[in-house]
Amino acid sequence: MEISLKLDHKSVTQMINNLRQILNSVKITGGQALKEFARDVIMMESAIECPRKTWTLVNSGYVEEPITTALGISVKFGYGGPEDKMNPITHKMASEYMIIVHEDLYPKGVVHPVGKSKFFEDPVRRNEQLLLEHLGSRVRSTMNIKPGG
Amino acid sequence: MADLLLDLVNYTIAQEIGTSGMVFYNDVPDSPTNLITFLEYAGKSSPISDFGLRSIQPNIRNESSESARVTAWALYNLFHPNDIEDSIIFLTATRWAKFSYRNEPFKLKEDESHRTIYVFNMGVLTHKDE
Repeated sequence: MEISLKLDHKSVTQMINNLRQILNSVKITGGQALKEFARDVIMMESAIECPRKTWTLVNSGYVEEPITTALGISVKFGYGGPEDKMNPITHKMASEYMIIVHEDLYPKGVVHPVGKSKFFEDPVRRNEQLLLEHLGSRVRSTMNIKPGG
Repeated sequence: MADLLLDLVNYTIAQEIGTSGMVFYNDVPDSPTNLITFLEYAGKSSPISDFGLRSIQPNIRNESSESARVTAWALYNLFHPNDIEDSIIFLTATRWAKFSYRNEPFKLKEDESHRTIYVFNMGVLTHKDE
């Protein structure tokens, strides 16, 4: 007595197509989730912590669209870059002085009326775990998987 | 009392990257001209263990730009021996620390006295200070 389980060529093709669709949806959702997180969590918190005497640095903040490569999906975000702005007092571009403002933990003679150094790195590190949870939630939702499923 | 920053200072002196009187922590005094100082910024502590991930920025100042660069790299290599990622080092008999690098040494600026300042950032996983 025996049973033979078979997958015909049409079924296999259909299955591959379905998997490709799922993979594509996960990529799109993942990219959007990364962008949302960068924009709505990290850059928001960063803006609060960023020194903003003239608001030049804050206003140079940017989040790019997701890019899909062979290595995965990435979203670039930060300060300077395509949204670079000129400081109206010093006439320097934000990209020229943002590293010093960010990295100088002991800026002698410089008092930031608001904000602090490490205004970008701190929110990134603080939210690492939350990012993973956000990504997982969005991808599960796309694949229609309930939490714990 | 164990203090990571103080342990880093003493280890740096013991390894002859700096000498007593020129290695500091939590401060950037105006003199001596040439110095190394360890500064700390926001890290993470674990609510369920005695470990914490500390964020440390060694800050190297020298009147010679080249000396600042060389000292910064010597310090970088001190905590990153044999090119092994995430090295564990015993700073003291009772203090172990696992170092992870966030960037390589780079020139941050020249100060008002034309002294060059190099910095780099590292994560240090270690047990909590007592």
